[in-house]
Amino acid sequence: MGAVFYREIKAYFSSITAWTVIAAFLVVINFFMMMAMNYYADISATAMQGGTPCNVNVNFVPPMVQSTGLMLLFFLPVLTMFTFSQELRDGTLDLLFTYPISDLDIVMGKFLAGMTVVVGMLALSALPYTFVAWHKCTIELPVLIVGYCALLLLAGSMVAMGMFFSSLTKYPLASVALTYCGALCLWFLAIPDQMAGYVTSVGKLSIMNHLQDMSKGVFNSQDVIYYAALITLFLYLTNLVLESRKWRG
Amino acid sequence: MGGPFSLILDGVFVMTGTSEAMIEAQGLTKTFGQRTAVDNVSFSVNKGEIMGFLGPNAAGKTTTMKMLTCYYPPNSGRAVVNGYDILEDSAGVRRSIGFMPENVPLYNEMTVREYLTFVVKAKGVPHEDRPKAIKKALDRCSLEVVADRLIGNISRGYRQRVGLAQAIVNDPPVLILDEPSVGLDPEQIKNFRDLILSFVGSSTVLLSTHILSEVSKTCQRVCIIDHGKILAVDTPDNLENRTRNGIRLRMQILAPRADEVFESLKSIKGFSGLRNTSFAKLEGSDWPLLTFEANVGFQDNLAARRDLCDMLAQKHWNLYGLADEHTSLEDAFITLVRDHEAELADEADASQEASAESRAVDEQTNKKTDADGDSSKGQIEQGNLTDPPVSDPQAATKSAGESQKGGAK
Repeated sequence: MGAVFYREIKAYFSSITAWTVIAAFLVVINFFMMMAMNYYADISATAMQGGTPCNVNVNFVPPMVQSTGLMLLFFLPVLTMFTFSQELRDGTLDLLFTYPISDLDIVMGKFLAGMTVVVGMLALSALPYTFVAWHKCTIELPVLIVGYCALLLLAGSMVAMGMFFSSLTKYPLASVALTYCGALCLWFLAIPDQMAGYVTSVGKLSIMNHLQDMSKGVFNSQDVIYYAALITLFLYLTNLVLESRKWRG
Repeated sequence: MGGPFSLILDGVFVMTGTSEAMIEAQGLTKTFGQRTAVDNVSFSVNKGEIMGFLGPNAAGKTTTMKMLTCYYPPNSGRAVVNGYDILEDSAGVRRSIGFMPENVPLYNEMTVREYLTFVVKAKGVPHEDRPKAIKKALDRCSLEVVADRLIGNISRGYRQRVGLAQAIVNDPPVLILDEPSVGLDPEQIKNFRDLILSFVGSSTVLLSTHILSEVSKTCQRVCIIDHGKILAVDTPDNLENRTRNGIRLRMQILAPRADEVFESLKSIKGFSGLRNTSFAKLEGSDWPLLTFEANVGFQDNLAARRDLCDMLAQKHWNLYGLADEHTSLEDAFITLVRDHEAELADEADASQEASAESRAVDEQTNKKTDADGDSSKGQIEQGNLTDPPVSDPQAATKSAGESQKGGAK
């Protein structure tokens, strides 16, 4: 597993794609951060004039965490599209199968490498909060930590899903398109909620709904189980696709 | 594991040696949908031996190798590599082999050294031995000069060597090389061959190729495979002798026109597979030097030579040279494969015939006469193995000859 992890990390940082994705992600997140700060400045001004009281931990951090989550949905498929597609196209995966490592080692090595990049991305995206804190706004650390744990879980689901679709095809563009479809489907499961006005049983499966509680700093084991299940499911499916070479034909 | 292992091929009893067998395949079969890629393949490779897997494209060489390297399991049959069963102890097999796949898939964005570092990690070489193992592999494959360059930027010849380096980096007892010299220039092929020959005695090598000169120069034993079936397993010399049923005659003639000579030679009884191999200007001669090659059976040998002399005397052309070409492995290969293909065609004919018979009684008689005609023709072809068969043999011979020449340059 270590070998695959080592190689994947090398591949991520020697490819222009990973750098581009990280850079674009940070630009977008910081833009959102700026908008959110402006918005918060407005509502805090009204609060001082006797309007509804406001708090960074309610009116600033949770919306930011949720927007960051939504952006992960859009940026991570591009990051993961090459994981297997490239190897399938070059035939390097065939050689990897003849090394004394298991298919699960390959899947986990690639997943952990993807997660390492994601951790870096999220850590950089969290930097502006220190700027907010510097302006005498007391951000409660636990709220931010729980929110970022949820983001990490969401990112894990996206990386696992991206890997799965990448293992299906040797065309990276096809894999990124499939991953977008998958992500949008998981997101749009919340549409029935919007129409009904309450959380429906279908809506409970939506990937963004599970960010709600944790983004507010409320630890919810249901959400953790949901994301863990998604990660396990897609990693299992990826492993199955790799193993299928043994019985296909 | 060891002990004598024998197999019966086309009624020929072949002892494959009494020393320890490192690769032992028994009845390997692999099907993809309706197509049987490898059909009941059995062979064994002894310790320290270089075995060549020879066959036309799509003969089942790569499929067999993929089964031996545990890429996918066979539908039936079993194989043991270095004492590990490919079905029961796949990890053991993969620890014992170094595999170099066709077209050498490599990670272009890594440097050669980084790549080998990855490989030693993946192959589980102990941490303290890694730098030594990498250095040794770089040395053996003469890769030091490109060690710190990106794999995507190095030449084909070096890529091929990196492919070999990743196979040998952990000193595996068994090397499986799929078409290792494809795409190399003759000089590189020679270097590559020397490199492979340096493994004799220390590693067991199974290499596949469709280049015949490579096999006769590197391999101690050859396994000829076609349409998923093993046609013969023997030493290159034995294979050459086994299929030898005539002489390849090389004639150098000084004459004004090649086509005239060709026509005249064609009329000589007993000549077959005639071809004009070269055309050269000769200093001091008005006529060009034409070289022809033809197969002649042992029974026609004397008469054909006499006819040749008569013909030349009659036409006033000069005979510059006349020589027996050594029957090469190439001929053995072509003969075996062609026979096998003719057999397959006959089988197909027979089954067609059978279905036609069941269809209508009227047609039966017609078909029968046709089939009789066909089979008698088939017998003639079988009798004279070097005769042009159903498909275009001349083209086949020519292309094979060219590839051999290319290889031997």
